[in-house]
Amino acid sequence: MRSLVAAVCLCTLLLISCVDEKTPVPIEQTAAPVQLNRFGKYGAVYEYDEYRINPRFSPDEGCSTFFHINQKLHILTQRGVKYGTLSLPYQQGVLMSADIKVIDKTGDEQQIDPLPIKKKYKRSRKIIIPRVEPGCQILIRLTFRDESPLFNFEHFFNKDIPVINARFLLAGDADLKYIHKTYGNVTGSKIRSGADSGFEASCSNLLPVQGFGFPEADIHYSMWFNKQSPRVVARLKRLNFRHMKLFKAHGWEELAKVTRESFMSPSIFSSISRIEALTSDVIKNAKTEFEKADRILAHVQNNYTLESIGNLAGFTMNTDRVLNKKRGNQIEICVILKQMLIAAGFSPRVYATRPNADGGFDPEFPSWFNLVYDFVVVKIDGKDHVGYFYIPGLQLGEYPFYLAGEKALDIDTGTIVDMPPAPFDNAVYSSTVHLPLDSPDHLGDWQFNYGNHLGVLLRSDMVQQSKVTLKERFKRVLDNYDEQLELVSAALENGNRGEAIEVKVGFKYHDFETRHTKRTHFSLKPFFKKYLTDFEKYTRQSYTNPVDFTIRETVVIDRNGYPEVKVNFASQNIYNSLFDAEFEQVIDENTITLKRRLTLKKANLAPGDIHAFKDSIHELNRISESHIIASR
Amino acid sequence: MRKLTIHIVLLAIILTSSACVQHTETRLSQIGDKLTDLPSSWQDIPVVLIDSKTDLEFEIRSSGNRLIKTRTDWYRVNRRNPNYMENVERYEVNSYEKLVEIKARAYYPDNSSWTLQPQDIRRRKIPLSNLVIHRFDIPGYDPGVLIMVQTRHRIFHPEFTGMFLFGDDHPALSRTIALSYPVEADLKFGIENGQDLTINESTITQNGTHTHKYHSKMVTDRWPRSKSPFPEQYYSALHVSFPPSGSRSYTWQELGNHYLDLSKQAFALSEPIKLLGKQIQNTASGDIVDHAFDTIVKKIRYQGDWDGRYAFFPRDASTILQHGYGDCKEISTILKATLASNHIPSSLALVSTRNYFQPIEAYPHLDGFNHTILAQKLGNAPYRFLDGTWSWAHAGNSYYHLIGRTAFVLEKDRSVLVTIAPDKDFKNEITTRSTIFQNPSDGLWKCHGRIDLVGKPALRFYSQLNWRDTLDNDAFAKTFLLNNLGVDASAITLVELSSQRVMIDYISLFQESYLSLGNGGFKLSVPNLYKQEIHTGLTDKRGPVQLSRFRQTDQWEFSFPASLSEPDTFDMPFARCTWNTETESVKRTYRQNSIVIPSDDFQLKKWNASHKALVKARAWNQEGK
Repeated sequence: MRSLVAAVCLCTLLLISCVDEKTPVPIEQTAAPVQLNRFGKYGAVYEYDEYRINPRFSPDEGCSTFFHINQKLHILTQRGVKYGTLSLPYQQGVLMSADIKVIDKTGDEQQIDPLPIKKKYKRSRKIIIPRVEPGCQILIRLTFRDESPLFNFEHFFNKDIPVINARFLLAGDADLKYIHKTYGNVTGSKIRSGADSGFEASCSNLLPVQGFGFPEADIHYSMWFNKQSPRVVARLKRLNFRHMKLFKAHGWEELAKVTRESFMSPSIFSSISRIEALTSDVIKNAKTEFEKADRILAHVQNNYTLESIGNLAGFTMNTDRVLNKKRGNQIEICVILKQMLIAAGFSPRVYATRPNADGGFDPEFPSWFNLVYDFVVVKIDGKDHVGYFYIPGLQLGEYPFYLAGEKALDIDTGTIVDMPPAPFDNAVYSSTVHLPLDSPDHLGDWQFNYGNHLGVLLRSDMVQQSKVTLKERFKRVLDNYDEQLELVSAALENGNRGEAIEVKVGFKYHDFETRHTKRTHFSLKPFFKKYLTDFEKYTRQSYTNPVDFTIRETVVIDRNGYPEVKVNFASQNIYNSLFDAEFEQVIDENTITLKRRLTLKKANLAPGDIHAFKDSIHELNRISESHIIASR
Repeated sequence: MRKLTIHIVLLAIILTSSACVQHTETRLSQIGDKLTDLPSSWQDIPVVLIDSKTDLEFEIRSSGNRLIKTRTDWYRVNRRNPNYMENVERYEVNSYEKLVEIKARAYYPDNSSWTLQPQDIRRRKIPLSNLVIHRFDIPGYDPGVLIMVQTRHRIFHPEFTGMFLFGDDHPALSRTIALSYPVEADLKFGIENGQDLTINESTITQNGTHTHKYHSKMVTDRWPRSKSPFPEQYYSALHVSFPPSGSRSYTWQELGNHYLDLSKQAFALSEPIKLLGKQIQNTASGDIVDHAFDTIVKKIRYQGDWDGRYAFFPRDASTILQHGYGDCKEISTILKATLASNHIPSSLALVSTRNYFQPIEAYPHLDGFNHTILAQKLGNAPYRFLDGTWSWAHAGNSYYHLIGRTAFVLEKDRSVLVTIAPDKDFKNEITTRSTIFQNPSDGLWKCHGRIDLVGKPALRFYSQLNWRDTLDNDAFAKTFLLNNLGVDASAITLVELSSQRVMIDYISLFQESYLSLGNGGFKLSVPNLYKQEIHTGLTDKRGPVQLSRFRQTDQWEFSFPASLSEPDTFDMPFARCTWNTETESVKRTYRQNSIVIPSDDFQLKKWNASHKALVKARAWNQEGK
């Protein structure tokens, strides 16, 4: 009876596994009829885009991995011919075969000679396809072989142009063991093909991603991906790389342990006493614990050059070498910072995480991909402060907005933790314009105040780019707002470590005043108006705003000589899920004060979603115009 | 005997090295002395050149002339951040030179020093280019460190070099350029001193060699060249016309012949090219040159492969056709070949694009050219230029972005420098018409407008639209109107769209221009003047400013009899604006002539300040609402 049950169970299991695994259908056969016209504006479209990875292991020959790329590309218009040069998403090793056909618009098919393609790939790492013209189709099959050990990888499905069908397959023989996870609207299933098995992940109708930039501070940051960007991540298990702990680590605790023991332990030959002497010099005369830690951070930011991390396989830490050369990769510099903090009596920890823009940190899927940035966290008066050494000018506790709210791996304990709270989770830009009504040339003063994240970023930008003068920078800012503003002067105030940055700009307003008999009309365009009109471009793109961004404008007008004034709008507010806008006017005996505040909220909108806000945007544009009628 | 030889060699080595040490110490001491001249305003600049010297040694050889260029720079680090000189990069342009030697030393405040070892230099060739980068790091990079970097280039095509700037990325306390050449050489050379530096010149003749030395002090750093459309007219430089062979500088004509000789294989007519030429002839319905241009632009995409000699000379036309891609000179070459197969003569023309250094006519050399186009001459008519890399243009307007640039037209025995000028069909016009009305439903003033871009602005619109992959036509048109004319359109209709003409109908809110004074009126500030033609970024400029021939006509129509209060007269030698009023409309006509003018010219400054005031015109309602 017991054996019968066992047999039934076994049959059931086999049946389940048979049902669970399917034979992959060639992607060419899965494609539905394509309506290409709707993609005309992109110039080109991938009908399908398939990546297949076949890792092979042999105790004698080691590892070799075959990467297969299978694509069909339609060149729709002249603007699409540039996609005849393929940029591949990652380095795949040696190009073994290139089977490329170009079908012109008359249906004539040309097989492309693979030899020149291979030669050029060897020199340039690009696949440059000849004779690409509007109206042609390109069928591309490439096979690469890589002999470096494959242990984990991540594949993003989005490309520069739309992809109608995208698929990723991992398949290998019985030795292949893996775990994987898909994100976004990617569907996955197990596959079996002959003796090979693995999984496939697919998605369809992918449009390119568009970032969002704030020209305000002349600092542009774009968000290309987020946690839900269509992608697949996989990690291979059961490999036999005896000497490579890096590849054997699975689970957060193991990843942290390998990082800690293999990469972050100072070599026994390193001189800790040298770090202690240096630290003692750096923190000399520091009055508070915070000041001590911040001085150490500033020392590291200003004195060590960050190098690319390179291949970690043969990496060994040597703090003496870093101290001597004053350069090192992020792990090395992180260790120097940590050791200096220890020498100063702190108990720092090292965290590692990945920003949302790169796909974010996924606590549920331990992998090296999640450990992009290492940094130090130090507790002072019961509060955790991040020591972010990558950007000179950031004070202890400050770090870029794109890491705020993320989870991180505590390398010292192997546990998942929250990022310490940022001193601010929004960007603030405020300005005060001072305009006397009776000024003959309409000269005004404009004080910009860059706070929170914008202050942090502008401050570090100013430190690093000493060649762009303040005047040039703010001339561009004024031009961005209104052609009628002419820069007269610009001066920087504050901007020291930890301070908000203030910039005082003198300008001349060329379209300010209209006189008519006894009355005069003054008009003031809102400086933030550009944002709202630029939203138009997101009608066909997704819109991502990674951080609450607040713009405050205060216009103080001296009424000198104008006892009677009338302002065209009443205090009014608009609130919705995209932005909050508040307007207020205060008229007193000597001045008229106009206050406008606009907060663009964190958002991730799909293409076209912006339409829902069209009326609000137009209303905002209309009411934010300020007109003053004044009479003597 | 052998022992004696060894001793002599050893003695020679000792004497040489002690001389070297002594020389270095003397030099170091001289550099140290110069530090006292460092002005306080330069002390916060991250890196300053204390002394910089370029030695040019020209050699006449029967196998082809050579130039040995040795540059020795002494830097002082004032500030570590940004670390400009910590990672030193030196380039080798392998199609005309070999970087034969790099020396570097660092001297530290504690009197220790570091010397670069050959194995510390990382050499990397940039894929698909003629550039090799030599990189090394300066250890102990800290304030107070003195860095000496010396490079020695052996230039085997000296005709491809010829401009030696006084300025550098870092400001220089002392800058010297020395030119040596055999006394029998007859070279054209001279200083173009756009920066008005004080340059001391000295000449000596010794051992059959003339040496001219030019020395200047306190040379400011070189501004990013993008600030000036004609950097060669601003930055001081020594220009030398080195002949590739013989002892006499070439004329432009000889230089043209030389270039054509080196690239003549590229222009040979092959069967595939003849076939293509025939296809073009058979399918052309109008001008065969226009049709050939369209065909080549569609067939050959821009993709550069500047490996080795192909940085300067094109591949042959049939190879380009077979590839289906090429760079500027290759697209021009295949266009020339297809025209030649139809018995239409044309020539390649070397040119330098806007903001890049151009050669000076007095000193023929090939330094500075970075682009190739095609020139076509019919009888005595001026040259017609075609730029096949301007994918969104047609044959007639593809050269617009090069107007005002100097082209070196390459023709056997007739090569010549020509300034690219607008042809008789050149158009650069914008016409706008705005009908202002009050919306009955909400009482707001609105504008129903039409904007007609003709010629250059249409090409700009059309090209930008096509380069932007991710913006649809309407969204792009809205952004373009807002950024260039100040029009904030809420609805758009593209009536006509081509590289020659773009016509856009739009609706926008006009309420912000409404003036509730008297019977009411409007500010005539929208549409504004076209930003691309009037926005010069004057405060950033070094060197001349170029204005194009441009005309903009704006008409505002109202539903009431309008009277006009206009700004002060705007009438300058190169720009004029007039206003006309009819019963219910106001018309503004702005005309601008083509001119190249120094950025500090008072008329230019006056124009720059006053064109902003043109928007101060007001149209008033004479009847009342």
